[in-house]
Amino acid sequence: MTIHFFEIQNCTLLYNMGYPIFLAPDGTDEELLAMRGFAKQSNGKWIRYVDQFEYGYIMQLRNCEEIVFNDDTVKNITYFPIQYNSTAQQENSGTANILCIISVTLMLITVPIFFTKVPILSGFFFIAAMVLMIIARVMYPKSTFAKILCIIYIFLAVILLVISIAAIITLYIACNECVNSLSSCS
Amino acid sequence: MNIHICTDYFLFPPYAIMILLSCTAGFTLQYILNVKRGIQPMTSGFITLLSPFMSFFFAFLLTYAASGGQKTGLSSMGGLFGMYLSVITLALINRDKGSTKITLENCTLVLPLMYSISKTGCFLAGCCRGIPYNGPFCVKYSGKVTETGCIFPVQLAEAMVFFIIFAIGMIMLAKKCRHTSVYLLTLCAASKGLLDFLRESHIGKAVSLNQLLCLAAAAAGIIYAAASERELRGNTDTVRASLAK
Repeated sequence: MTIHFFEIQNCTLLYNMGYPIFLAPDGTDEELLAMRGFAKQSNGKWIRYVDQFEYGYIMQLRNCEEIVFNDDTVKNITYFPIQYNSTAQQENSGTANILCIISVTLMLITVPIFFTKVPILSGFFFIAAMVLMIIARVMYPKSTFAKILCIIYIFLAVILLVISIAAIITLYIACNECVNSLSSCS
Repeated sequence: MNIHICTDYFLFPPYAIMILLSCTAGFTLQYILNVKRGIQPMTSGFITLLSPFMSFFFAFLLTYAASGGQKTGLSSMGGLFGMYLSVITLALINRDKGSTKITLENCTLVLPLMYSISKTGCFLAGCCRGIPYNGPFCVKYSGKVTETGCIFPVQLAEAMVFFIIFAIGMIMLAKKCRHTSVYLLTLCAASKGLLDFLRESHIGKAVSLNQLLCLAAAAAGIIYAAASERELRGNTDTVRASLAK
């Protein structure tokens, strides 16, 4: 998506720490950038934080490849509180805790189900637990329970990956030895 | 010229190594593309966290369900479905249509690369093999894992075709072409559908399950392109109307 912000053409919409910013193209006149509210970063790039009105306008036209901001469009910009939807919910940690508790329960259920006749079902529970954790983390970014759960699940995912690789190699070696011993018998 | 592959491997099975390499390359590239194209690092990270589990789960589930619970193994079509489902899940959580389009496009871009690498694994292991064939470049497997007569190197053909599709996708992305993902998806579905005729598993079947799924994937891509084009036209008209005021 390309943004034409008044005289500054071909800006890019990016996200810095979750906040939308306009990134000015290199070589733009610095005086002009400063006049239009852009700030120079330590890496030499010029950025401008997008306010809620501008962000609402961008969201309204999010499927357009080019968005123009000029005096005429700014007059028509109306407030769409999309950007700040989540801030009101951040404090609601009760719902986040419920989501996390359900997620932990589903994750714990995964283990006994894996040893039943249909181990594939444990995959459903594992994915559901992951999704619930992500919902809690995205909707309630300030929830400590969700943050801790996220770290635990990432750690768990890495362990699962390592165990899977080890299991494949072990199984392969075991099968190879089995085939070798059968070949020697004949 | 014939190709001979001995399946008496030593410590590391090449199939597992290639699948691992395919996942590492695919998910890393997907994350880099997402971040580079303005998706929040947290959202990109969650897609990378969810994608491996969903793609492996659905890859297993499709083989398991299609065989009536008799077989286990990885199905590429199931993996593809899992990859897209993980992106759609994050889109539903974030409720941001703009970023959804980019993440879906990035997912479509990396899929041919992942498929290409994993097919190299199939070629080395001798699974998903081709129809009997005695022409040039026919493959003969020997050893403990797979033993066959001369067959068509369909896995190698798939690996090469999909790598070319991946390269085309990256060029289209660099040139900022519109509907890159739809062209790629249609190209992938058509290639996979046609190459499926050269597989051993296709013998005795008019149309395989893979071909039906390819047809469905291509149709879904075309419908999505038509819908987004219509929406884009509507938005452009709105902007023009507001600027004309």
